[in-house]
Amino acid sequence: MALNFSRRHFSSHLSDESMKIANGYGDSASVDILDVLPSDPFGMDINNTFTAITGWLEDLEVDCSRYGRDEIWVGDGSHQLFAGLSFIWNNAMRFQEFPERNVYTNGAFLSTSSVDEVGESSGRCTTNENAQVHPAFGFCLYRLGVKDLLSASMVCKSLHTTVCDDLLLWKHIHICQPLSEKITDEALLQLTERAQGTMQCLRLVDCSRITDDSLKQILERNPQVLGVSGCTRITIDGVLSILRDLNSAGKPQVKQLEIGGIFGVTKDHYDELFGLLDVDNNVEQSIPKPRFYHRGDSSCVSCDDDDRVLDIEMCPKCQNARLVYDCPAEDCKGKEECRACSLCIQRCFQCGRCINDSEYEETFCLEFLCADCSKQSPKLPLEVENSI
Amino acid sequence: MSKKIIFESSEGESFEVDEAVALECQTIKNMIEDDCTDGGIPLANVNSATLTKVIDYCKKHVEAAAAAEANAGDKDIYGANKDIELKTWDEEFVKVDQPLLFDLMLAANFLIIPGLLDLTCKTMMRGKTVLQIREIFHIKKDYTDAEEAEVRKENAWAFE
Repeated sequence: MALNFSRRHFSSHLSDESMKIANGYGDSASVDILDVLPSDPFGMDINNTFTAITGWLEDLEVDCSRYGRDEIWVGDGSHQLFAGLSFIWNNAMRFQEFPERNVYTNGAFLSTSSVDEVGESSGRCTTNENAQVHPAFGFCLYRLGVKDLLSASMVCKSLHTTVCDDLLLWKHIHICQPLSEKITDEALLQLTERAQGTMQCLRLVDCSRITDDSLKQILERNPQVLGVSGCTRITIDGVLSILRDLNSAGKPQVKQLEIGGIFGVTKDHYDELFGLLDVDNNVEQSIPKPRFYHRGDSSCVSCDDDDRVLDIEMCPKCQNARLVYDCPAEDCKGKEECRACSLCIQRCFQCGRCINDSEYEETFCLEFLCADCSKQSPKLPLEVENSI
Repeated sequence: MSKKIIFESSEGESFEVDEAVALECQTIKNMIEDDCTDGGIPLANVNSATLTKVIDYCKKHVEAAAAAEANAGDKDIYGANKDIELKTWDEEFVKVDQPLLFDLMLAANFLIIPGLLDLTCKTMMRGKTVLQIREIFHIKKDYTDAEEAEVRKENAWAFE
């Protein structure tokens, strides 16, 4: 397959459809057999993969921690090989790590006919529609994630109104797996619109379809905490220009920013970011909690988890602006030597300890597991949570 | 000897707990601070079965907090294993039938135990499909087919 890796084809102004064509089948307008073929015949989620590849190509010095390993990729002339590998690899990863996510809601709307029977046979549905909904229901809504809220809004009319009109439900919007790859600019704008300007916190993790444009629109209604870690289509220049605009317009500033996993952050960017963020000097003086490398954890963080103003910092080893991790291993604890970004020090993806010089195992998705973790059954906290 | 607090369930049964455990409930904490807990605290809307569970939960979480405190210093920020153990315990804890889960939720709301309320709510609703929610809460679908299609379209991006 002839791939066109040019960045321009991934511009946010193109619709998904035109993207597929531009990506997969070249620019030729002539009738080619390839044009008639389905763009994604095996449901391999080709769009996301391509987006990821653009990101990779844009900056070879990426923080590879989100996808796997480093070093292999340093060679300059190997773009093609590189892209091909990450293409296969991202899919492989998805299969192994998130086996149940895609299946998750497939059954949701298959049959609606049985519902009435359920309601009636239980004898608790009165003629006054839904009057006897359990009082506990109200508390639940405020503790749900975006996906569950959306499910709830489809249950009945009054719930739909509640979910759509209750500003409080949308004050904090966290998008993580399994919605990350699905959420589009349009959908995100719709959700943030529901807060009607009262939104305080927006955290997007690995949302590869979200672009600078929608971010700009949202930030004009000012969330104070913004996280866009791993959103490969958000650019550091975009973020900076949004912050600059907010600054010059005298609008409330972003207080906390998470941009781990965004490509191409230089020292200059880093310094400017600090100048633009609404840094409270008192907060800055407190020593931040140590951060550990842990793939499973990064998918969803709660609002009060981290009090850092900016999540990335200058890596003490390579002097690049990246996520810097501490080491939880007994003998490294608190030592400065073992504080570095994930490129400088390889870490066990389960416990986050450094694995330099010690025994380790490489998993199917090319993550490293230290000897201790590989002995225990590989049960990620992430999976535990899903099985509830 | 720590101070004891006496709870009285809706059935009139008495439960004696350590003050530290009772302090997990914000409502009770306020009462203790106002010093009006002598002669027991009647909980007219919490039955014995639920109260037993609630006390179990508070006890466990007080113990866990104490254990974390014991290995204080930097040990405790690195003590991720403890968290996982407590999480597993929580998961087991909410493996109960639905009416009890509802009662726990109401009790947690009334006694103000944020952790328990959070836990029960999530167990009840998280990851449930539309049909399951209708079933659990006995909600009748009042959408017409066309309306339902509309709403479904609105949220289609999340459920593809």
